[in-house]
Amino acid sequence: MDNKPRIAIFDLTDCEGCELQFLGLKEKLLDFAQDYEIASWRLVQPHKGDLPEIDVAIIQGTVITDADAELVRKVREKAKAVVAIGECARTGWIPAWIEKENQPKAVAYVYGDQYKPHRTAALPVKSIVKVDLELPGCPPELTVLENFLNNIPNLINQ
Amino acid sequence: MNLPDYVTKIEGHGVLNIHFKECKARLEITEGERLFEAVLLGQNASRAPFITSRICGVCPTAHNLTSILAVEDALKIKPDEITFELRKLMLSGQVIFSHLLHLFFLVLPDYYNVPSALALADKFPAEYHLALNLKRLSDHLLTVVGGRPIHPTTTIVGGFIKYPAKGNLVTLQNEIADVLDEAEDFVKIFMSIECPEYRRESEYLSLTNDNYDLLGNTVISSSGAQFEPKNYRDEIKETVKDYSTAKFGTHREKPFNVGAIARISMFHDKLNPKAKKMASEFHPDSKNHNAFENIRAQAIELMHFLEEASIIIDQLLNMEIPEKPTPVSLPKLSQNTWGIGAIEAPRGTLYHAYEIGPDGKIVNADIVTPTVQNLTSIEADAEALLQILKLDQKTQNICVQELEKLIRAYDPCITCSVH
Repeated sequence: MDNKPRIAIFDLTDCEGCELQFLGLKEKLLDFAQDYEIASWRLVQPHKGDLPEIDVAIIQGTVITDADAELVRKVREKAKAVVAIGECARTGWIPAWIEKENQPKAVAYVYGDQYKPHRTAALPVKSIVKVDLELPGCPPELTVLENFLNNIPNLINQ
Repeated sequence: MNLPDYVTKIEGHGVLNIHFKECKARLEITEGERLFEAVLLGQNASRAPFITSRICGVCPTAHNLTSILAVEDALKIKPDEITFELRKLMLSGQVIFSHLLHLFFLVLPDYYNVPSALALADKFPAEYHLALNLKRLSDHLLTVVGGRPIHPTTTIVGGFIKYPAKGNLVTLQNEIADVLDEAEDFVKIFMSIECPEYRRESEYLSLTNDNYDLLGNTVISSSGAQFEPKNYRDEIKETVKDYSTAKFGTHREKPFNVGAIARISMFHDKLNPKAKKMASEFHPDSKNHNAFENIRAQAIELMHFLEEASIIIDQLLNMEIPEKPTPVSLPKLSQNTWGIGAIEAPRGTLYHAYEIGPDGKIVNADIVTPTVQNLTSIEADAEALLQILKLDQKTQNICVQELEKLIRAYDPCITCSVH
């Protein structure tokens, strides 16, 4: 168990469709989970305290809040390889259609004038840290995810 | 590196904050604001279903179809019967897809004392096998009709880009028949789990027509009151809170509940035969509300919508389905017009409302999700349960654990709530 490579899945601000797509792999995901230790995956398992060193960190979602940006930086420190999956992580996608200068007006439209947002911007992961691999798609196709999982040993040994 | 103290195994990011001395519980929603309503402004209305599907990866079909209904309402487009049946079929698939994720992957580990659903595979291989077969079926159904399970590709304002081939519908029909017995075993797992006992008076709301099919023109309340979806803004108020990026909903100033528990409570007599039989002794009551019963209600609905999908496919197989849908041209509006769409999404009534201009662009948009409507009740339930746990002199750790289970029982979609 201890010698298995460690994978972790992190979600920033998003619809969670990308990580659900992994569940669409069904038995293949289970087979995969036998060979790796899943060190963190908020959607399906509790936290295990401190996050250890990770071999491959999978990040999905748009960097919208300071907490998102901070998480991305911490994950980069801990991970040998950072993979951005889906259009939100890759490009910022729909939330990024609202430009920074229009943000206050958009926030007031949705929440009223008095509201203090958590949102600072809507950015792709690579604008915060170095990204080693990007997987496109909204969400990425199952075959893309499967090929990626099969290719993880190469990614770790790079 | 410490991760933020999010409630895990729910959709989205929220932190439970308990004040033990005062017996207060707050669910602080910290999900970033994506501002979908502002994103829609100035967009062509026909693009809204593509955009709003992406509010949620768990219930994308629900958002996509509600968005389509809102645009069709403004443009006065009446879809044909095939479209109507295919949409109902997609919604059945959507509920199975979403309830299954919640029941098996998020809830069951709490009751089988394992950390995660992936760990269920080793200890409970039979249950895991059942869950994957149901997952296979719902993914296939949503692919045959909607193009794919997450973010549909075949649906448009007015109808469909593509119809499913009858051969594929026959295959689906056989697949449903193959899993029905297994599904009964699956539902029994959830009917027999122990729910903590506490009660509170609440109110249940659900959209309805004469059938239990997630569509309708009337929202009815367990109090006997009712209103038309187009008047939702007079009935349901959303309040902005300083500790939450999601608004909190109330009905006439009070907390209320939407979702499987509300639907089963009010319409159990309309369940399909197998589901009805399994629910014969299960009738949740809004006056003695216990949120954990939502888990059982979802399990019963899983069976109901498997049966429902089969009935709809039978109807479709008896219809003449042309090879290609007739394209629907979108009429021009002479003045700004509001359109309102409402359906029962897996977690409860979902409203999309758009004001569309003569140029076909969206001028105003408002979306009210089921989880927003449930948030006020989640806190009220958490405090009611906390009182009981304190009386029983439970430790703070146990209290946190039980309150997190309660939040999970709601199946909150925080992602949806901060759209």
